Amino acid sequence: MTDTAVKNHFWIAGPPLFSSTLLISSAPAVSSVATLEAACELFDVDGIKTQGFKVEFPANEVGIVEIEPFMAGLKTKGGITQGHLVVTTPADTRQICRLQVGKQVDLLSEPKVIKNREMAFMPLLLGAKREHLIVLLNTGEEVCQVVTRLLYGSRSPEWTTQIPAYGCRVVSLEHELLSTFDDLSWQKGISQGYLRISPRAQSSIVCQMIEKLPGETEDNILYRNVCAW
Amino acid sequence: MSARGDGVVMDRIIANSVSTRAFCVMTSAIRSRVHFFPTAGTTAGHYPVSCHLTLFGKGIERRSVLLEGGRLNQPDGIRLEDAFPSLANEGSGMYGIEVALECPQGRLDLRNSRVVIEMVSPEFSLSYGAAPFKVNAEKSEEEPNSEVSPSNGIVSGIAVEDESVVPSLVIVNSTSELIRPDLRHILRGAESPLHIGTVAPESAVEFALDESLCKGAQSHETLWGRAVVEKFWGVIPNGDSKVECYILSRDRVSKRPVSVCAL
Repeated sequence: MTDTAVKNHFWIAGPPLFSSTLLISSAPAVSSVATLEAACELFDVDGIKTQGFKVEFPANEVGIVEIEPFMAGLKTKGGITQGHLVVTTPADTRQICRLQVGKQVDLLSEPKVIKNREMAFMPLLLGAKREHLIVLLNTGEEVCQVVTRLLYGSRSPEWTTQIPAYGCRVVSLEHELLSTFDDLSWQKGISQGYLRISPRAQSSIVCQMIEKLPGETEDNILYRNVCAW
Repeated sequence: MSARGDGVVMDRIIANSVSTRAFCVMTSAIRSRVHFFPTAGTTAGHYPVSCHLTLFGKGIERRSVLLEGGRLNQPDGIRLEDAFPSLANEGSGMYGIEVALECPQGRLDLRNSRVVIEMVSPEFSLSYGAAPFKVNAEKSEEEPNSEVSPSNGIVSGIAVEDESVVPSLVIVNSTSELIRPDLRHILRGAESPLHIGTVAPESAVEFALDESLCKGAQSHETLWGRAVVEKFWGVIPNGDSKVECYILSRDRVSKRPVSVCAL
């Protein structure tokens, strides 16, 4: 792959709740070649490389890479078998991740890497019956400190999460972060809030958020991907 | 801004005035909110930022509202019916939204700012990230060679049709000109035009892709069932700065929007 290769970092997760599929397409100029190659590296939550593989497909078709068969070495953390997928393809190719969470399906564009104290934001509705899972993925070679600040009403509590190099974390806003905060007003009614997420120093991250809404039964729990950068 | 002397090229893009375009659906049951986050890389200050919200589309008069009081690095949002109270009495449909951010601090680059559109109904809610901000054209006239638009009117996308969702292409045109997209796809192994129609000035138009792109295409057996996954690409004339494209996936049965992906 050349310097102009397209390299992206995706958070991927597997059954029973999740399903991740990578979709790759080439631009017309690239289609002049017969086949397209995608180099994939898979890291577990602690950043340990578990798989390295290459896939080839006809350049005039969309490459469909189902990740589940490659997830055998990934750890399960917080009930989710998950990892960090690094995908490298030739210049002028698109990489999209089809992420299924429960019955909800999302097509996620190439994630934006947030680096060097840049900030991502995510709108959310806070309430006692909602849960937000913040997905943080360290795209760098050093341990990364990620600052998550929640802005709601006149309050703005802040937490720091440490993520190993190439590792990832899923953090429950309500159960892991807000439970350490002395204010419980967010549990009354539903209020608009915003998350501001920023890596410290020279780190770089990718982040997204999944909302969990209760159902009458376990099968009726509704998940949705709120935001991905 | 660009300063070019003898043998010296020094580029600096003025990016303290940026905009992006997205779409929303407004019906008696579906309400939309616009969330925005003005930010400028690693700049930590809370400089004032104004947000200009413009709504346009078929059947409604183009209208704008200026939201003052915004600050750099401070996320904020507004319900569309609060921004445009008269909208409630003007029918329903798919509308285009233009969000323009401006900061008096000329050295700040607001292109990293983001917008999230949220559509909410009693049955579902959907959020998606709008296309990245672009430098407003009038601010970049001094920089004719600068790359003010990362797409430069070229679009490429992937559409997925399976047992649960059907794809469509939404083109948001905030220009005053009719747009004739020149799109292509692979049909029976050869490059072929993708006929979808035109986009009226100041409108957001949804083109179903299940018939035009996916019908007759080879389907694939996947872990989630049989699926047609097709790519398309092409040029949006005059689409270098004020046109955005999105892939919208709708539930096959209920037709409710389930996912939006900026191209």
